[in-house]
Amino acid sequence: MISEARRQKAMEIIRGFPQKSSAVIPLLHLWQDEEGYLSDDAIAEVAEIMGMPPAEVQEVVSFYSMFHRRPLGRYHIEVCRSLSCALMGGRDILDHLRRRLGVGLNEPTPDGLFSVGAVECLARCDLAPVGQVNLEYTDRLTPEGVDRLLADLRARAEGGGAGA
Amino acid sequence: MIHLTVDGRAVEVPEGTLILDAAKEAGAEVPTFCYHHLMRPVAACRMCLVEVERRPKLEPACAVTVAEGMAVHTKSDRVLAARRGVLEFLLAQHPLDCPVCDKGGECDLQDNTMNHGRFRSRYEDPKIKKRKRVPLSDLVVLDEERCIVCQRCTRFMEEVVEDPQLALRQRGAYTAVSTFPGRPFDSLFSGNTIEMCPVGALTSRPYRFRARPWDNRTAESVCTHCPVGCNLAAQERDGSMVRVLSRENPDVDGGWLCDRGRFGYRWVHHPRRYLAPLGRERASRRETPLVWADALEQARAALKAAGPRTAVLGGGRLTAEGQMAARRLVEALGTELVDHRTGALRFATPPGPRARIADLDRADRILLLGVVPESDVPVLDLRIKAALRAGARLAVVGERRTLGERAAATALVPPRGLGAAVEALAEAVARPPAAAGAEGVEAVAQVVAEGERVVVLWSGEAGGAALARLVQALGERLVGTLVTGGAPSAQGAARAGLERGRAGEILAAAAQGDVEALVLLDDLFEDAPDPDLVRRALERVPFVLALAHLPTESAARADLVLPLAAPVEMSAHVVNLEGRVQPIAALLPPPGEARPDWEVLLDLAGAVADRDELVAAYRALPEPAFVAEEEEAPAPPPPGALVAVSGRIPFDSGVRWEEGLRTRLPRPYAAVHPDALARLGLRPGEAARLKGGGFEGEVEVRADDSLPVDSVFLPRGVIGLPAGRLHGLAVELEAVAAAAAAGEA
Amino acid sequence: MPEGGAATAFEPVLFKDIDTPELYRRQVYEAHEGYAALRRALGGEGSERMTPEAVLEEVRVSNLRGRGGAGFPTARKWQFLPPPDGGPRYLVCNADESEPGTFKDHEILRKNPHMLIEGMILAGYAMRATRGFIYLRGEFAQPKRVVDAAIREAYEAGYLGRDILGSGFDFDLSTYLGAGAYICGEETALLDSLEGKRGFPRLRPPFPAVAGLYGRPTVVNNVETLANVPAIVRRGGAWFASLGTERSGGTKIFSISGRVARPGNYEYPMGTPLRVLLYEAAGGPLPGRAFKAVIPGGGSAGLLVPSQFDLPMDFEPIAQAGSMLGSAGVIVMDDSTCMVRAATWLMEFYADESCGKCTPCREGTKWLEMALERIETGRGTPDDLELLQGLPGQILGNTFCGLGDAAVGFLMSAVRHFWPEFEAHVAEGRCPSGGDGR
Repeated sequence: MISEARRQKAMEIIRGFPQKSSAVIPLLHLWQDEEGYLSDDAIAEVAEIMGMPPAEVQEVVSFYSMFHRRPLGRYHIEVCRSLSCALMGGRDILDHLRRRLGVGLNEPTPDGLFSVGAVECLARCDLAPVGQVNLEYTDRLTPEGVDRLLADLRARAEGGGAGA
Repeated sequence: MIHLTVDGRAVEVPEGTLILDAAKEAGAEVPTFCYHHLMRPVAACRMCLVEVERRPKLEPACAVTVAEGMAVHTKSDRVLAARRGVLEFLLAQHPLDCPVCDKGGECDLQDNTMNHGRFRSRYEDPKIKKRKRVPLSDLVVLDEERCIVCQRCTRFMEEVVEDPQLALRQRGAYTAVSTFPGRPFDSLFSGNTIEMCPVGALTSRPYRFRARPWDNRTAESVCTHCPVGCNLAAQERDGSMVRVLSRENPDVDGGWLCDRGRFGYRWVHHPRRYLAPLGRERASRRETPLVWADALEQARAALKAAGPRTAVLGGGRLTAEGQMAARRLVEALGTELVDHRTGALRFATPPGPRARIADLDRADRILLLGVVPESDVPVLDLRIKAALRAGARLAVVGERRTLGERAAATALVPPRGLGAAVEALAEAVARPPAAAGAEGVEAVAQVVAEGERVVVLWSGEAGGAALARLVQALGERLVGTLVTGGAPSAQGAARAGLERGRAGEILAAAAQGDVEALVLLDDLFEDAPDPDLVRRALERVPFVLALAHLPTESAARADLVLPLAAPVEMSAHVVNLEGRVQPIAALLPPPGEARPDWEVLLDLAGAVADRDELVAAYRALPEPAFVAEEEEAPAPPPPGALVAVSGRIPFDSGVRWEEGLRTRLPRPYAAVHPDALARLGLRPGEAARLKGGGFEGEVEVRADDSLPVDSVFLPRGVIGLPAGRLHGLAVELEAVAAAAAAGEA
Repeated sequence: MPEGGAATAFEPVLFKDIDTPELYRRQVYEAHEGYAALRRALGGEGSERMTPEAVLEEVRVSNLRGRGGAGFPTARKWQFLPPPDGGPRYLVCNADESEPGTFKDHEILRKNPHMLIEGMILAGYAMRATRGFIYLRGEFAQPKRVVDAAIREAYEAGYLGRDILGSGFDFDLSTYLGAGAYICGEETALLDSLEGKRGFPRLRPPFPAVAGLYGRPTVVNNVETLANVPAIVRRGGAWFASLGTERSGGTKIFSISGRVARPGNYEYPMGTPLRVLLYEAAGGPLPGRAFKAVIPGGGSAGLLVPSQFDLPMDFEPIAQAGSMLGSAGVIVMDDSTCMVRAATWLMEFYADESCGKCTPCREGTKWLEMALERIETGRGTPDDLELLQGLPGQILGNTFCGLGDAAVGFLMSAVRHFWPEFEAHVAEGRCPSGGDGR
């Protein structure tokens, strides 16, 4: 069931476009922002609101790398692996993170706190290696810096439970 | 005209021609995968790259149109290298499992590789694993690893069917065709994707592993499941039908088949086919096989004795030859008790000009009167959608909504309200245009009145006199009318004059003992308005003769059954809703002693003629004239009542004879508007008791928002549900649980 | 002006005030000549109101060429639009900055969003567009907040909406967030994405100017391209043209990253020699290192070697050298860089980002990725080397859109300049450079 509040938000998004079809990606963002990932139910709900066949919504979801069909960690840490960052050690950071957390890519830690993703160029190459935590930039990553970052996030989660 | 050269050869083609077609004109075959002549080009596979002088890059011949003075090369080293490259790339991830692939022998990837890409692949890495043997439905199975992402299937569903049940998943090398989890690929047109798949990614489940294309023998035939008459290629292997393919006829089917037509071919091999004439003793119901000579003698004697008191019912499923032979029989008997309209059809012949199917392509207005194209004439649903995309506007008058938001105006009428609505429409069209914002019939009239080329599709079930007035009001603006109702070849039966009386009256007379012999050319029960009347008539008539393929409910009650050959078992002609006479060729011999319909009917008439004579005689007949006939106005149902409306469904009980379509066998159901469902306290999928018109039975409840809130839709042709009889009557629908509780209390 | 630009004297256009605190706020932007061009052109402030044709003429004279990579003359692109027919016409800003090593648009969006907004209003006026969209790549959630706030401010000031500054011109603008797909930087794939579909490039013709967004006339311009428009209108097209070369007007922001002392965005005149960028702007190599190769125009461009560092950074000279100016994302590699590894990383990117529509790109990039990975990890064979020589040519020029050519640009140039490195990986079964792992 779609909450009334979210349905309202969805209708507002749809009204913002000259043609309704444009709203599908913003709606998927909305659902993912609130639920953390896009379940079959979420896709069916967006399809219903959009008046689109679910297969078409799924097509859109599966095409774009930022849409996730499985839950991620509460803090999803992404590291750029493109050339400029890789030249400055970005891929080592990625390996370091995965070793620290003992997880594969886009796979949450058992406590659900973290997941790690590899992303392509984030357009901040001057501050390489670059990453994002829940889409907020973090840069000039080093193994030590990443360890501190994990500790900070863990403390934040245990503290007030506030988001990133 | 545009002048260009292809491989040095000069050709002249119309402006807008694709390089691909210009090359064909010049005798140069350019290989393709993603290109399909019935869909827009996408230029995705890159197989058709050709060299165009003074252009830096190779161009896709499937998407680039010709220009004056263009010099195209289809066999230059650059082109050949690019083709080899594309094939090498396509084969890199391909499983190369041709020995176990159904497409082997008719696979574009095989053919193009043999013709354009003989080389040793350099690909040695492990291949990307994808899903194999994915059942998308009971009819279609997907092998993702064989898919070359040409998008023909997804484009077909999106562009042609306008119901994108198939879509791509993922991107890059992981791209695959997919449905949404838990949603089957159940489109009525799904089978077309199998035929257009250039590789073995989408294959047919009924055909799976049954044959290699080179083992199959083909006959050109025509589908006889509905009045459209789609052209098809019927194929058999070792005496057994294995599949049906489209035999594109642009004027009739536009290259498509519906799944009922594509997968409805196994009935001819049903173990209960009648193989020899059969005598049946009424009291004991004992059946005795007869030799033809004895059976015919017995029949002729009985018919001769009955003479003009012989009734002949049905005939809309005969060949044109059979319809002519039936005419001879009727003439020989001198009977007027003849009618092919044993179901809901009332008028087989339209007032005013007839339309051709292809007229839809040029229509600027399409008016549907009581017709639901997807159910009644499925392939025309695609044609209408194409016409609407090309700019035509659709107006609908009917008991159910159809084609959704594509309709510019819809007048939803109560059950049995079609005649009155057409009457009102004729009046409205004759008047000056109504103000903007009109609704219902007025809105329909507005859409229709603005048309210059109006094509009407009419069920022929009601509103004949009213339509005649509408035709007059439209005058020159009307292109013509197609009558969609009745049996598949109802138009042929009408032309052959097999409508001298009224089936309902004839049956009533028979039930009263006024008919001495009854010749059944069809199953009367299939869409009988009143099955009880049929039952009483069959019991009362002293001699009932059935010409039949299978033990239908009618044939199972006959005193004598004469076995007929199926359409694929004879060379003859069939007539479609346009009145088009289309040849069919024999693919198989009739089983046992079954014989073509015209032979049997000529023998019964004691006449002699050959097939060519019969066809010539059929063609020489004049067009039947429209007979305006008064229709009684339906009694208004009690206010607030739920009223039944009936209509055809593509998969009716006829599929009980089809081994490939068993899962499509319908159970009796009743569909109502979701709001009405809620009011009745019913949930979709639930069982409910349907009561009305002396009938009481259990049905499955379905939701259908194409209905008015006070209608209940009942499918015709479903055993155990007298939809025709209930049509227009007030009915009750209540949950089985509630009914049980009430019973206990 | 960021550090390092002292030696080459010129007048900056885009980064004139870039480091002014809170430049993203309207009042601050206005204090630095912000919206002056708009007030003059549409509001008639200080002179007569400019007609749309007059604005377009300034842009034509300016020699402004598209900054997204293709370098197509901007005014000509606008002129392709058919005459207005009363229906909607769209101006879409391509802010899908995804080209590896390119980060100029991000800085404009983050620090000076009003400059882009003003440019879009002027451009929209010139082409009589009715509605604008800024298509931001999905990862730009942060810049999106800045741009959205700036758009709100612009509406409040009457720069957006109905009858802008009394000109009778109506223009609405909003942002749109993608969801992670490099291909959406290709303008027709971007339009598909903006329409709510997977980002598949479209068949042309029809070109977007005729049938773009929702099948209506549409122009798609890069962020940097549009951000130049206010200065062109304010100072005149001739002034802008005089900043650049004969064929390319104005300045250019060069994003310099990788193995250099001072990576960053640097604004220089079009045609500035690569050497000036590498040494004067970016401070030369990292301590103790020497330059080995440079990609001048983002991950899709072929590499240049030190002997080519005197080439002027402009569209034609770089193209003649077998590479491309592209997005002007300058990625620097030094003597610690293994070229096989760099090629592998880039191919991985393209295989990941191939949309899957056409065969050579979909299959070829994946295959090359696998072959390169084998060679890079010491498992390569002579057959794999042969693939590196053969497969790129089967992709180049044969794909549906430019991504195929982009995917093989670097590899083909690396094979040309550094073939012995590839051979050595196969012969020795490991990286011969023994580099520091990068």
